[in-house]
Amino acid sequence: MRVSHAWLREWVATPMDIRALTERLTLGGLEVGVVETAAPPLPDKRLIIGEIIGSEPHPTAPHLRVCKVDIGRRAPLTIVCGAANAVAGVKAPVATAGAKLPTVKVQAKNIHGLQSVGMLCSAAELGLEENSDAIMQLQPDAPLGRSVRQYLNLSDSVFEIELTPNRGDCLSILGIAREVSALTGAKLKIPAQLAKGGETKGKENKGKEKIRARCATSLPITLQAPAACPRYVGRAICNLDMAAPTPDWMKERLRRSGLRSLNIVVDVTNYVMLELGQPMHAFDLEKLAGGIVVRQAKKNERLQLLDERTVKLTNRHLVIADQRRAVALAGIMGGKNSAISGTTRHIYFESAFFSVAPMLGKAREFGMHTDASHRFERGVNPQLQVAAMRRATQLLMAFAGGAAAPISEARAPKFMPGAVKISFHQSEIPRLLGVSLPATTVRASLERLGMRVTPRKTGWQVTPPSWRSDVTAAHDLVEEVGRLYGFNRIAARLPSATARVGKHPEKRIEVAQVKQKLVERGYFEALTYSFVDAELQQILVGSRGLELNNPIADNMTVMRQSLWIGLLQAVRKNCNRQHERVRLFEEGKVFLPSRANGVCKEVSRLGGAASGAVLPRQWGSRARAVDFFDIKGDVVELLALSSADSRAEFQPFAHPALHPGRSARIKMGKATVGYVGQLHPSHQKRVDIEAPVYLFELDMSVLANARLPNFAEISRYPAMRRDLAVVVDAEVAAQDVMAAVRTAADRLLTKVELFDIYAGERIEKNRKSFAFGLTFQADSGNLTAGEVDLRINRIINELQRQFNAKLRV
Amino acid sequence: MEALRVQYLGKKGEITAQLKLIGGLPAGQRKPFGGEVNRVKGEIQRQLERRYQQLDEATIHARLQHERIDVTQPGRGQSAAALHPISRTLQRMQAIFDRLGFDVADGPEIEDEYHNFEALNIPAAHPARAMHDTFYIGKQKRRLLRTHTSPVQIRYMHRHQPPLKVIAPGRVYRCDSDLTHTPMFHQLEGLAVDRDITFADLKGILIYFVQEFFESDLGVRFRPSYFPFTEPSAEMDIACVFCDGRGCRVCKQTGWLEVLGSGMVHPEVLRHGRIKPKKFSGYAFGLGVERLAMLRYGVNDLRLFFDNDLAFLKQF
Repeated sequence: MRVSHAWLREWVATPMDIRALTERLTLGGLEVGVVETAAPPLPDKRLIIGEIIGSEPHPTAPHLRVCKVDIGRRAPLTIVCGAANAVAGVKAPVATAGAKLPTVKVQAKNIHGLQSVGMLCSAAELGLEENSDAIMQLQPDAPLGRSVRQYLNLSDSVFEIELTPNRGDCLSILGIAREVSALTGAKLKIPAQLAKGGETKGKENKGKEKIRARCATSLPITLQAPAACPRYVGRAICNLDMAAPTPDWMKERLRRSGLRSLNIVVDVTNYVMLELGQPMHAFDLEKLAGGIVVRQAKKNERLQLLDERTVKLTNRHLVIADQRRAVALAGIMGGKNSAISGTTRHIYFESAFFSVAPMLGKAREFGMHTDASHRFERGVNPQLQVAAMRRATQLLMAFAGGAAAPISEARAPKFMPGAVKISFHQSEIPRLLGVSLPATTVRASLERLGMRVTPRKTGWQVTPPSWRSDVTAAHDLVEEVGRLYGFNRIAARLPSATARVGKHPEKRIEVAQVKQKLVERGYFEALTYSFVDAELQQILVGSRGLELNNPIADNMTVMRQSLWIGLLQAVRKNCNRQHERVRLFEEGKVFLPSRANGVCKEVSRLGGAASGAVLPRQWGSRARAVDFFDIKGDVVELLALSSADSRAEFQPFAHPALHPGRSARIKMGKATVGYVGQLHPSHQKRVDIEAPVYLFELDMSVLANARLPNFAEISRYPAMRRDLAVVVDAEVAAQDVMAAVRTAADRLLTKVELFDIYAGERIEKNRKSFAFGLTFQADSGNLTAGEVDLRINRIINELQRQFNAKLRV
Repeated sequence: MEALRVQYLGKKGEITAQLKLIGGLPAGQRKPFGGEVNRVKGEIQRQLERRYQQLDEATIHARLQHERIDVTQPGRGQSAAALHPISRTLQRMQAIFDRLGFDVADGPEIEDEYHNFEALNIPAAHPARAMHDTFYIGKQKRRLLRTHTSPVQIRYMHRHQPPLKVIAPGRVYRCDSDLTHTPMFHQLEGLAVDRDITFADLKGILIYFVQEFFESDLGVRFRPSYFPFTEPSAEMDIACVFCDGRGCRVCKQTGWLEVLGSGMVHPEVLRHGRIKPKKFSGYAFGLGVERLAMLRYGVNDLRLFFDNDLAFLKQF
């Protein structure tokens, strides 16, 4: 809501300057954004009102006009001007030689052989509008020679209030003035013509109107949808002058509020809406047939709106119709078929109350948002319609003449919002705000907001004014009282003794620890979007995943089922940015479609990607590209956090994303807990990364719990170490051989290390050799060579039996 | 050296020979003679040892010279990376609330309308819904990506009775993307419900939090605001951390920066959480993690957080 400071001041008498005022509003809940001046700095004496008293085509430049301009001094000025509306009789701002305008410095100059001593200005040249192609026409009685800045009060300030959606009552000057009055105690100044109408405290419709009805036209009004429209006020105004100019002050106020001046009728409806908060509409009376019917639209009923678009309606939509057809989309926009035009002679004013609930979201359904819909969705004062009608009539007739018919009104009292009666006990204030206020203060605050406070046996009964439909219960009153008192005056309280609620079991592995582990191993943490490219997901995971109904981009249409999709894109981006060595990880949820869990199962995972050299480039070691076993080492280190490393099994597995010969599934017992491997070379090409990429992904659940350390007696006896090298077939898996070594020995074998793997010329073809370091140790006594030999032999026999292993000598 | 040792102290050495003579001397001379020989022997041994030591030291010295390295060469090995600034920020935030005794809760990112909107007092078509540009999933059984972390409040209240004190950090989604909006961002929700919780407690917790977070006794103010799920509602501003509240480009010359929304839990929300609003009261707040990270580290473009550029990540 844009507010003209000068306009507001007409409605409320406060001694505060604009700075103090906007601060008070902000701290009262009406957040003031930018405060600007109504116009950029303009000269005072060199920008004055002039009248064109003669206008002829330029003798040598036919697109220009030579104007004689009276500025209320002895001799008229000669000004050469290019605007088509620079014709005799027009009053306009004149900048005289030496005037500094926002865009130009005006100087006397020779234009095609004629001396021009000033400039007739457009609104754009004064910085009042973005662009304009004609000079700014002032009203015919504008005083010649007067400073334009003073005449239009351009030193006024304009500020933007960011209203919260509950404060529909503040969408008007009147509403803001009421707030200023409540927040500061300043007196509200209701202009005389409105005060007679009684507009302030729900008594708007009493009192007499001073206009004599001289036009007999009256249309019957039928409320066929009384729940959505319980009150409709209408009136015909006949024989008005559509060509009458809108007064300059009104145009300026509209402009400062962000609206354009169109014609006197539309300007008046907009002005009343800005002033009082009641959206109005004007129909061309001659285009209405028979009467007003407020009804639900028919199924598939079509209506072309003022903005030319045609909407297809259903019975959920409310329309204003005449006897034949819909003529307006209620509370949103008028129809083209009944619109006023330059030739309109008689109009029909509408001032209606539409209930909030049926209006909610309706404009949005058509991709629309109008000043009217904005207000009706936030609640318009249900007692305001007649007062607004009177105000609009008075303004319109003052500037465009005409004769007004009596006001017609249709009401459905049953559906009108009734006055809410709230039982309130002031103990609610300390209970919720933590501050005790005297009863008189509380009561005074409520009354300043227009609430009626009646004492009851216990506490009060409070009736909010008709414009505060957002106040319905005791907690709303607490907020109002707190707001007026000032949240910043409430003393903060810190917990005196903190009861521990959060528990930190020693066994739990914090996610932070897991991340730290990877950070130490050279992985940067990435954060990628949870929605990913559907095609890439299909390729890497084997299914598209959950689709978003309204994705924000073509490559973010499905919920991720793996962290790899986002990570690979991040790897590619970094490779393109000349990072040759990329290591990234991410921890986050993946979304697996599942019928059992409603729509999907959300699983927390930890994923990593590495490409390029295994170590940062450094002296003293030969650069080597990262390989499977580096990544596997990282994974095992992670699993070691939860002591899961010894139980995890790496099985060869063909994952759709991975190189079939270089990928493993990680098993814990029967459960698959992750995958590790090299990105499939064809996918690598597809995502356009030059070097091989290694990937891993683990379920965070395996990294959730650690084992509590459990002390075991340290053996005081020396260990014996033996090396054992065996040759097996090339396909034999190291993991299986190691498992066999362990089972063949007993618990005297305390450690098995695979310290060398060899395949090549020194052994048979299609065979490889494993060299194990075996450590034996007993808890009770020295081991003898015999005891160790016995176990070595058992191991050799077992390996021979299972893998056709031969001792390597 | 060895030859000298053998010549004097060896089995056939001169001193050894002298020692052997002792036995053949008359008893009266044995003692003085023996003493003298042993003294000489000891002296020779000492001299030899000293010489040996000198020679050793020379050898070591020579080796040390040889083994000299350039200690200014760079060290080797893996280089540590860094946490994402959002994680880092979240970890700090959680640590502060942990000290204040808040539990941590988690909730689904794919939510239903009930938890994300209705239970939070945001009925269908409410103007507040228009402020949440929501991503939807599914036709028959419509779900949505949570637009805030507030649904965790409801889920937590369903599982716990007061007194309760909990935070819920996590990802949230809105269908909006421009200079200052990303379709995904992070929030940290807070909720406390007990018998006599007031707005004063909310202020206490939040002021403590921002002063800890920014490690500064910075000024704060509370402005009345509107959220459907709290009443009274307040937004908290902190004195601009870039200009100390004097007014600058970042704070749009106001001297204040908006950092969070908060309020007393709306009775309707407590009811949805199966808690009696007559008996209990509570406060709730929602913090924007990206916003805090930007203010803390001076990051000037929100989108950098999701760009994953190593040149950015390496700065944290």
